[in-house]
Amino acid sequence: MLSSVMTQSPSPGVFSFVDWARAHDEHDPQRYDALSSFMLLAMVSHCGMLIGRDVELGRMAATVLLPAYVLSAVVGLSSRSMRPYCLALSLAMTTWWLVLAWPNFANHLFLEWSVLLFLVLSQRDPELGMKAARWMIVIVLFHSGLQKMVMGQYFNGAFLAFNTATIQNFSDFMGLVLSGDEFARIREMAGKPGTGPYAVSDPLFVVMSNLVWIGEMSLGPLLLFKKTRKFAVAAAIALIVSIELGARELIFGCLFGALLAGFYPRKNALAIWPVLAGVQLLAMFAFHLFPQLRLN
Amino acid sequence: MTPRIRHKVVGLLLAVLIIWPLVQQQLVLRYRVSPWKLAGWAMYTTVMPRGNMALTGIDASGRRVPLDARSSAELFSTRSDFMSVRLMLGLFADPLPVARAMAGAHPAYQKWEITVNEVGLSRRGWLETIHQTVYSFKMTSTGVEQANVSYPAAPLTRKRAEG
Repeated sequence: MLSSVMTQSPSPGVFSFVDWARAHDEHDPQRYDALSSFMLLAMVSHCGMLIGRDVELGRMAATVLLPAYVLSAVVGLSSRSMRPYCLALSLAMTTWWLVLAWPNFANHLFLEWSVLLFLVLSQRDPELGMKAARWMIVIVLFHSGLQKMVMGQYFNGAFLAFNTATIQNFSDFMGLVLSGDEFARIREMAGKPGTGPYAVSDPLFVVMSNLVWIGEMSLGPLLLFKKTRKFAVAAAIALIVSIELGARELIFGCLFGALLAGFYPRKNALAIWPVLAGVQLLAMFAFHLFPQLRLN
Repeated sequence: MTPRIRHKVVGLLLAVLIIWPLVQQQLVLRYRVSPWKLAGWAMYTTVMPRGNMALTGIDASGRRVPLDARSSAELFSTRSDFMSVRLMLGLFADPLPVARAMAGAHPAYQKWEITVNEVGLSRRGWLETIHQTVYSFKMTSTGVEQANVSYPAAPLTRKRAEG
């Protein structure tokens, strides 16, 4: 199967692996336009979450970063000829944000920075830009699963149980999966030092816990193969939706959804970008106006 | 930029991004860097790093005295800054500013120690101290210098020990 991925590569050499994520259709220029538009608005939503934080980054976001992202989005979305400059401005602001936040930046921000970087580098080659954006999803999915396997806290469900004990969002969701006694035992420990064990005996919970890392590790590579791509996109979306039911990181979830849509074969599924960007903007406003929803 | 060079630049960047998480994984396992940080895609692999820190003064007779971090504003602030960076960058965090602030606030001692207890989910699934670092400092002619760093076995938490 690997050979079917690697054949007909237009770019021989050590970096021909880039082409493993090619589209097998002619829609990449439209996907590139859609992803560019989405990223301009995605940065507005993400940066908007920082407003009101009484730290240097919060003040910088309110005075410099957010106005620059809004300017990029307004100009970039209304004038196609100006979009490359707006993407470059968004990339510059995101680079500055990473530097300001160092070492306390979220991986989510690094993913946005990487996608913006590839979009800027590939402005004259949309297909290359989309290949790179697709590779980012493969990298994130595969390594997320591999890291969970190495840390070993999904084998017996301990990590998800700990989150159930300490995070209300997880608890709301896991309460539906765990048996009543086990759920009560875990909630009672409440994540206080010296409590345990967080390992869970409930088979359904343990299977679910292991499906997370197995799913992530296997779906990443499956996205690269033409024959399995459609299935992998659907399964990855299902996985992300189930994770978001607990995590409620809507802004990250929509970014991931947009990047996954870039894999969908034979049509430009990224045309749904206004919906995803709209959800992100709503999540940002809800974060500030309705904190009881616990969106982040 | 020619198409060929552009392709190579993108390929090189992707290759780095493919390999980097493996490097970050080793930084986590060997140097106590937070799995959640440095773009290794290891968020949600284990609980957010948390911990506590104890400051100790050692006098000429070898008597060990717990020191209050609130005894000076500088000590309190450097301690908070160090702990925050320590939980993210692990053993790459520099404890010297804390030691200098300790020596400034408590100059009567000969040596000073900073003990960092990292609390997390142990392999057995308990929330307990999973790693301990003891930084030792002494006064030299050039000022406070680090004398030693050790990693004693993490003490059992009370409930584990009783259990």
